[in-house]
Amino acid sequence: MSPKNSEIKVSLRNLSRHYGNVAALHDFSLEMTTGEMVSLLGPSGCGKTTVLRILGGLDPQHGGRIFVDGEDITGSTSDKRNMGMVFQAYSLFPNMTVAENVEYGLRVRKISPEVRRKKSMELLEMVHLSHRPNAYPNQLSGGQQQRVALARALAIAPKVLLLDEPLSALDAQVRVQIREEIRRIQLETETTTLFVTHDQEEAMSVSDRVGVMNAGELEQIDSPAALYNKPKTAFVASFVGVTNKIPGEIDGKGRVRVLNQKIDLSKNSRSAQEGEKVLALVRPENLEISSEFDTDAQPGLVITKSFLGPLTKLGVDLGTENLVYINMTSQEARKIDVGNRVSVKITSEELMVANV
Amino acid sequence: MKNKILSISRYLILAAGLIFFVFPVASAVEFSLRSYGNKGHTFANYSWIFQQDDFFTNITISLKLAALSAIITLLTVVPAVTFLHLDGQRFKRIFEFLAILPLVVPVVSLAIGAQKAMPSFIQNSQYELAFFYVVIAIPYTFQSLNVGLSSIPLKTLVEASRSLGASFGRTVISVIVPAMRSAINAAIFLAVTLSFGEFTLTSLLHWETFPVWITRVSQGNVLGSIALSMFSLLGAWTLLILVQTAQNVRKKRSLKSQIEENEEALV
Repeated sequence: MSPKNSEIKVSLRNLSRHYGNVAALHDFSLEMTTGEMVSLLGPSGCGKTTVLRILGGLDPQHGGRIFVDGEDITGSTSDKRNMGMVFQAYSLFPNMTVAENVEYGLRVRKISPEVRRKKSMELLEMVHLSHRPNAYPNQLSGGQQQRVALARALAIAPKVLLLDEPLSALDAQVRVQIREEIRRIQLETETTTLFVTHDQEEAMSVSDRVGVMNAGELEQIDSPAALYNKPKTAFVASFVGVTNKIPGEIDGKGRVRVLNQKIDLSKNSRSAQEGEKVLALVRPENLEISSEFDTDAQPGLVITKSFLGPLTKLGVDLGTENLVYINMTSQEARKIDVGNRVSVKITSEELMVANV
Repeated sequence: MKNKILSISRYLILAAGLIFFVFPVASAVEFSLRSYGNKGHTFANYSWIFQQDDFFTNITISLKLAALSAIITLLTVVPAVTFLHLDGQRFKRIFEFLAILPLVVPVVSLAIGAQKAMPSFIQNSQYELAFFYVVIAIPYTFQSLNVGLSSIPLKTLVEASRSLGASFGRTVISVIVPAMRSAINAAIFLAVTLSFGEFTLTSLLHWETFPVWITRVSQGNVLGSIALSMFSLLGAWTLLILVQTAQNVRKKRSLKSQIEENEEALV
């Protein structure tokens, strides 16, 4: 899933935007290479949609500059940017048929009717809707409408494709199907794409790189695997994937004392003073559970057991404020039941810590 | 048993509604067809309408005022509500407050105040009434447009059109107006019917339009005045039926295309 080439297509430099005294975006910079699909992920209000709308020319920025193909487009309006956009809300023009919607951008560009028709049929074929060119939007399902919106956005051969949570209004099964279609089409057309979503599974599964945003700033941008395995901040570690927050304490050698173990601090973790109370961030797959007593492990009681297909998730009470969750294969989990006494051990060699 | 009771009570309510609505109209029609001296039924009262010298003058001026009111509504209220939905959410409360004012300000105050506020060259023309009619109709036209636009993601449609390269002008013509067509139709219909039937303000300002003329002539011919009222009612219904028919034709076309699409898909 690597980018097609390393040529810089989009460069957002030091963007900022505020609403009154609230900074929606602060000194935000991002570069995208040609044909790359970058997702912006983050909680509501973190500024991810603001970035997309600024790039699309729909909202102004209060600072910073935007370059596409090396050209400064900071001051240009949305109709001059040639960026296709798919919105969260259904945005097909209700008075136009499917084909007319797809052809709209081409008609604006005064392309001949024959070429328009040919292009729209090609795109409808691509989104598997070539059998419904004369349907009106109100005759289509939500998933079909978003596929038409995607075809319409691609019809103008956009410099950048902007996807603003296009799947959030769809049901779970259709979401998975359409996100895979989006990725297939994006790879086929080699369109540089910025995808905004709050669903981490969605972002991780289709993107070349994922940027995690928090409070108007980009915390980390990396490949999905690097983001999950090597988070650079406590926020990323706790936001991406499931993370247990287990109380611990820093010892004299700069290690964290947690669950009867002493583990080195990750180099990405914030520094901490001796004796400081912290929360150790531990992934469920980095915890080992055993029904036998172990002096190096923490004893606990199994409270919940959730079957997830090949994996089973156990919730264990270790005497901490919250249950600690552990993933194990469903086959191994057969030996353990709710109410069993167990020992829990951390298997990772280094940990990140967050404030209590 | 429960369903049977429900079904009977449904028919009873429908019958009561029909009697409440049809009975007065039927009685009025019957009354308008009577002749003086109880000499049977006749269309004389209806032919009397057309024999009046001022009939065509007054109905023409009322129609012109209604058309002018519709145009002013299109040029002022429609853009204002559109702005409210596109970029003016922060002004929503102010707009809603202003839109309700014509209902709470007495017509006498409105008539005098508005007349004084008008530029003198309009004060001397009967067409000034169109501006007042628009103001009186605002509580209804505003609500009709506001509700109509709330059901459309107008801002998103505009942004989609702009991002596809359309200028704002083109977006208005190709996207905004067609998307708002039903809401605009409803607002224009309200503006026209309210203008066409407005009496109090027109009478206070000493202008003569169709409703004022009806009141005047009815004092000399009671049966004729009822015939006139029925004639006006028929006009309003005709307009309503025309609007409804136009909408039904569009719906049928859309349904036909859907059926054709489904048949093609099956083949």
